[in-house]
Amino acid sequence: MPTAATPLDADGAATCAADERFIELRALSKRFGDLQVLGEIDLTVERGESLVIIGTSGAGKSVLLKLVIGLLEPDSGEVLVDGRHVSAQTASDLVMLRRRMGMLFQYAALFDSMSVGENVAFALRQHTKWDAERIADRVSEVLRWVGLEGAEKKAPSELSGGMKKRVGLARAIALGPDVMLYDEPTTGLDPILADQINDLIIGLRERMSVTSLTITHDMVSAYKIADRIAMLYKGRIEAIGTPEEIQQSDNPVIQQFIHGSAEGPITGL
Amino acid sequence: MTRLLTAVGQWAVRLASDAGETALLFGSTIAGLVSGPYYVRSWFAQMFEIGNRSLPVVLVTAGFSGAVFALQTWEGFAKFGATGLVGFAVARGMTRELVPVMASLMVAGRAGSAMAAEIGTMMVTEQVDALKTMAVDPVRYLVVPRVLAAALMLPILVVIGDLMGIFGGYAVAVRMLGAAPTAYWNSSFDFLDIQDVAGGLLKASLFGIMIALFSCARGFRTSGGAQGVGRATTGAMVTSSMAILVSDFFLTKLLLSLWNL
Repeated sequence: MPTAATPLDADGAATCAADERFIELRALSKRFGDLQVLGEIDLTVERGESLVIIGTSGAGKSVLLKLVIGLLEPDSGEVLVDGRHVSAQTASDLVMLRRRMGMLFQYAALFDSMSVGENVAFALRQHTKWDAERIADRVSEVLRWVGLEGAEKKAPSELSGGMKKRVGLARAIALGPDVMLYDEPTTGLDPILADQINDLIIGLRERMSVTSLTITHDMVSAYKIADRIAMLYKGRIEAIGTPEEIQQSDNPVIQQFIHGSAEGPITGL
Repeated sequence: MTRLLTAVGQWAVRLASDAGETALLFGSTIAGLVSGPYYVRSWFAQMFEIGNRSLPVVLVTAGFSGAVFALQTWEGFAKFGATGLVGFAVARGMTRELVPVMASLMVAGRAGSAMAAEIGTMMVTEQVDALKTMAVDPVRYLVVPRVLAAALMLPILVVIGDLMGIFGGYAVAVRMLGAAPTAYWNSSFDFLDIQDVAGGLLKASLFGIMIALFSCARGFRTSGGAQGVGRATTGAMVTSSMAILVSDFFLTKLLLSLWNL
């Protein structure tokens, strides 16, 4: 059972009012061959909340994120986004649901055959009937939000790692999503660039009132952007709570992870 | 012995799995063709990629195939005093068989491997996942335009290749071997039926569909970074080439028996 820092209900899900639940994972399980990656996970993200999931490499964080947006199918259990079952959606319903979700990939996943402007405009061209001028205005607006005004003509290959992430962020928010999923948003960036990305995530949340689900093993980032932090360990939620509660947790697994210690129950040393 | 059986079993499972995935991709492509949305810009880009960029290699291949075919048939036909039929033999051989197969093999090597490499790279860099998260179906966006473009551009390449092959044969027969120009042209076109050309074009279109499907399927199965992309690229070319050569026999038999094409 999770040793949670905040109260859990009878099913193990973090307690919150039912109408505030925006993302719900119910007894979610996923296995690849003999490897049980996620085992009966219960988790709730409230509307407008920023939940950060931390965990060691290979703990199943990316799998969890892919289950939420429907890139993977769960073996059992359910994912609900705004009350809709992700895996039970018809193709057209899933399209509608995904239009309300944005995802920033770990390595940005920019379309390398397109310019920055075309990358950001991509979803707008696919899902709106806007004319070219309106799309160009929106592209310029979101690029300005991420500090890349005037970068429309650049090729992804000309960009640094931090710039790619910012373009990926601009692309993800172009349609004005209700939910943002961040896959390791600060991994591979220097501390200053990482902090800029953190500020962008916070700024976008305030500007667009999005619900955010972030996976990371960068504790500086987690403390800065999270309303609550959940730790994923051995396919289960080990603990969940506010950044302060996580920091003060007496759970040795949490303590080893947040202090980045080589010795402790995670490594068995 | 056990190791051998295990290897054969694994190969058979992999083959069945690949075939199943390709069949599913074919089904999704048909669904995408019927229901849309249609990505016209992507379709035109692929037509340029497959058509324009493959044209030089198809011209060279067809031209020299026609030339060597004329050279060989001239030697053989001369034994029976039938050199006047060399033009017809070259034209029929080129339009029915050589150009459709050679052009398709060239397109498989050039455009098919490029399709597998591009989609494979998109797979390992999560660009395909990014498409999905932006509510865009990768099959409709990536596969349908490629299949349509290949089905359309290969017959066009074959028509141009047919002319180039016949011209290659003419150059050798008339310029090198001393055939009379008018007699060669008459021999080439008087006996050539529309079925000869139509059969080649139909086969080319089907080969185009196969190349695009097998190459895209190979691209979607890519994993493991740069090495995986390399494997997908060569795999796409090998699979497409084998499919062209094997299916050519059965298609030819079928077309001949059904419509004398």
